[in-house]
Amino acid sequence: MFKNYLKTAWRNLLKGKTYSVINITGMGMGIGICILIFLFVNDEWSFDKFHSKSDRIYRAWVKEHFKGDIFFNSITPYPLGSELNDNFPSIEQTVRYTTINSLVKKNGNVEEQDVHLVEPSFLDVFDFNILSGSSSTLEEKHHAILSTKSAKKYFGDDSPLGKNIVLQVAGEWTDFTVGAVMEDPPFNSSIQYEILIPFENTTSYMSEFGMQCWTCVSVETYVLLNQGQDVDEFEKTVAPFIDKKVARDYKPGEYIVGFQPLADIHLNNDIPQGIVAVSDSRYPYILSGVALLILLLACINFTTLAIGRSVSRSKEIGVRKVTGATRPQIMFQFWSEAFLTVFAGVLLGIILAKFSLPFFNQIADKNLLLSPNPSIVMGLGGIFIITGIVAGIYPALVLSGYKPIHALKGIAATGKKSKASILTWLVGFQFVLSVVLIICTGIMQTQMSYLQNKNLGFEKSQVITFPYNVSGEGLVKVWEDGNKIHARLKDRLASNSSILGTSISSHALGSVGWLSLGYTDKVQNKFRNFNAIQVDENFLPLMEIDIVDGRNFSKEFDTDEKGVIINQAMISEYNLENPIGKLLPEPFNDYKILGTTGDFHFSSLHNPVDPLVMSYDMLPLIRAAPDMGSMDPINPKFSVKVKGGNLQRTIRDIQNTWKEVAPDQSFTYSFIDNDIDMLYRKETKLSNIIGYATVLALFIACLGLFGISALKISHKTKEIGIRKVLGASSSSILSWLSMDYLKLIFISAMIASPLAWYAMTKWLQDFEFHVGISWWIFVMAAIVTASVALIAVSFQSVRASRANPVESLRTE
Amino acid sequence: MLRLSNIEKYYRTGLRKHWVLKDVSLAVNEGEFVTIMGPSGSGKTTLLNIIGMLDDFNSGTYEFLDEPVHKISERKKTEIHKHYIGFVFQAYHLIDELTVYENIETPLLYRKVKGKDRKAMVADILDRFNIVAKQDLFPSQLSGGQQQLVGVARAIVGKPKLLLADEPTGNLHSTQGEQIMELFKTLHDDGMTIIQVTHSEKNASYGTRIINLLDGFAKEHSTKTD
Repeated sequence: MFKNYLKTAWRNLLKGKTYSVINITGMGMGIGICILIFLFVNDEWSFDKFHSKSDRIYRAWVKEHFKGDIFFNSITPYPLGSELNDNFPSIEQTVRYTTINSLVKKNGNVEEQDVHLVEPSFLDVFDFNILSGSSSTLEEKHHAILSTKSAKKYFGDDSPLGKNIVLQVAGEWTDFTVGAVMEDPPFNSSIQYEILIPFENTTSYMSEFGMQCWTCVSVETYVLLNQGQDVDEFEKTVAPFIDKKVARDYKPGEYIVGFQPLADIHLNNDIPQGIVAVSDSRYPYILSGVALLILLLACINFTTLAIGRSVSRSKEIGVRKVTGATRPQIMFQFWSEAFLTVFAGVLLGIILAKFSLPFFNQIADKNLLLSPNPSIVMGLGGIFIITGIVAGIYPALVLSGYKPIHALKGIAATGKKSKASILTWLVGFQFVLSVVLIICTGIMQTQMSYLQNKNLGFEKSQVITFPYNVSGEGLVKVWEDGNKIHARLKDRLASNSSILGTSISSHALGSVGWLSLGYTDKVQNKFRNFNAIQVDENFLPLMEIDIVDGRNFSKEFDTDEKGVIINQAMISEYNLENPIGKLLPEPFNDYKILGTTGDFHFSSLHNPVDPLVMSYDMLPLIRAAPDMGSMDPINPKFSVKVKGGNLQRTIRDIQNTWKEVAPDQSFTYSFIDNDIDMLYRKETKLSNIIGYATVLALFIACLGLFGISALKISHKTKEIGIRKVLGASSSSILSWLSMDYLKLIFISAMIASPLAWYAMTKWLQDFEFHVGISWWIFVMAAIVTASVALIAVSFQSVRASRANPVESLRTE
Repeated sequence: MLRLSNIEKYYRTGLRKHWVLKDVSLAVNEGEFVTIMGPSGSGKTTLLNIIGMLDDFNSGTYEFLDEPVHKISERKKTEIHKHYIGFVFQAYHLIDELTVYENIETPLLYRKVKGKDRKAMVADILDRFNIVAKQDLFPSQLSGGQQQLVGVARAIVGKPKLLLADEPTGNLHSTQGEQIMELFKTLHDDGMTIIQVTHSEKNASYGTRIINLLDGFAKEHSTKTD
């Protein structure tokens, strides 16, 4: 029996070639994108689950209620780990983990290198495997573990075991003996590492105070709970213990330590980011939603085409029923046809996914692989079954219900009206979806281009920046050296006509975050903070940041070392009317305000422009601030403004000069505008994926429209003929044939617009600075949909409207 | 074999009833070859469809092999006509996507006849109807007469007790038509109960009894004597 169904299904596929091609292409594309998104989502959701003890590993967070403010951190105080480990038998082990921006010496060059400091228990708690060497490497203070990748990078193909690697820890060059090589962390691990050194090394740079401080945070703390230990119970036992520890500064309940599951870190955006990178938990949902909707479009094509062809199929249904087929048997037959089509779609989808994977990896910034592992096979199976059921549901349920005598006569019992209205609903749904996607793409692209083109209050083009990596003892020395090197660099580049200027500063523009200084305002009894940067007198002119009031720094005034330039936000925050000549608030009140600038965007447009203090010499400011934090290290950065034209040569010139003035430094430069683009990487990624998805969705919807218009017109051949005989022109026929679609698109746009508006308003909320949603985007989306739809329809309708009426009447 | 009493069938158009069949009573015994005749629109086909349980009626009773058809479920009806009734149509109604062999096989598939028996039954019919050579052709490759031959073959392959034929020769040339009628006669001689609808006096003459329908009334029961 089943063979018979498949046979008919197969022959039906061959008979309606156009429709089969439309269906299979649509299904293939829909399934292809589903596969890609499935891989993406699967990867996102699999983060950190590969550890065999994953369900027992938790990361601690702390929430402090301090004078009306809440400080919420997943980076924890230094002593937390050891205190928990020593006092709670329900913990099997704890691991403290932190990272330093270190330097490594390689062939006489100095390179930046992230180094992670971990406790020996790291190897027991997590499933990162040692490939060669000793598992007790982390017990020795000056031993290191390299990942396969970094072993290759620093030692080539030689075995690094027993050899030394020179790392800088706390300003000191230190020899570390490579004790082991470990496998590279999987891409779906939050914890990434290249070089691991024992946690003990924190003692070289942490102060005694810092190591006992409960109000400063410096490390991530992971705990491995005993088998069967309930985490809520555990949290309850921890609370009174912590209350006692911080009793001097906090009332009970003001200082809370909580624990989040390891597998929760990557996608839980309610807990602030710690040391390890996190992702946006909404994206998997948004993308799966989009992928499923695209697949639904393909399923709708299958349904609408099945309805369109139901007249010609009804005879077969009638015959089968008369010869004894029961309704379930007919349903089964239609479903087997749907499944056959979907199966072809799955094969095509796999091929398409395979070929577009490198491209997808690029736009999604992933390292996904399409290999037949169980989860992918199960995912594909799921896609196959669900798509088959959905695609076949209408033909199976409705066409199978035809009464045999009606079916034989070719008039479906359900009547033409309900069928037409279902068709309208389905096609209308496709339009709604298309319009929504077009509007979203339009708005996202507008926002992305706004981000790129907004006047940031400084000139971002043609500026390259590179760091001077710390290699002295302490910031004072580093900056002395930095300034000297800058003077030499500036001197040597002065004669180069392609160089328009240079500057030294503690942060470059386009950085992930500038230094933030925090203190308790004694007057208001409140925690306040502002951003700070050290600049030279060249920085503002080089970046074309205008002085609004007062003056720039100058070498001519010795007193400028105690001077600052502040931005508009700082003036507003501190109510500084006529700020020139005034002092900064306590405890920074030995600094005098020399000038003010406008609010240039030194952080990404996700954030408002925060108060900023620019100083000639920042170190006393830092010393005066009890609290400081920075995403970006505060070593010197050089900015060089170059002329357009032969950029490659200019950069080579700079590199050569750099080699001369700082021979032990590597030259890692970037363009500021590229750095700025990187700040919007996440959004660029999403808007690109949505953009491609929109094109795909439109294409699939149009395929269906093409098919259904062909069917509709074939049923109207006679009517077209009669109208023409009665004197209708080709163009009036054409507009008559298109009018229904235009009406439908108009209504769809009406439904789609508020949906898209809602979604995009949400999305734009992530940005402090964003475009408004203007009405023309909605109009444009409707026009685009209408044009594309009319093109799809016109393939058929133009021919039909031109046909000789005598022919069309004769064929009836 | 079957007994229809006071069968009525009508469509409603607004408040008015449009009668198709009015007070039709009819009994057919096993082994009869009954011809239903009447002008166009007299309800012949509707009556045949009702007998074949393809159509419903509004009032009256219908017993088929002592089963009250007017009371039984849709599922049961399907079962009955699957096992006891074969259909032949004026327009043949073969499935275009299936070959001759597969078309004939279809009712057996729905009846869940085992593969081996199925092959034997289809082969037997092909042989009997002399169309073995055509078994792999598709309907579109056959002449009308050949298609109807396949239609009849398909109708009787499952050895039904009752064969219903709606203008079986309506689309055929006279010689082809005669062939089909001869076939019916042979089937009847072998014991098959047949009810046919036709316009043709000549076709009617193959049967044993004629029922004339006039505007929904079974006017006259005339028994033909051989």
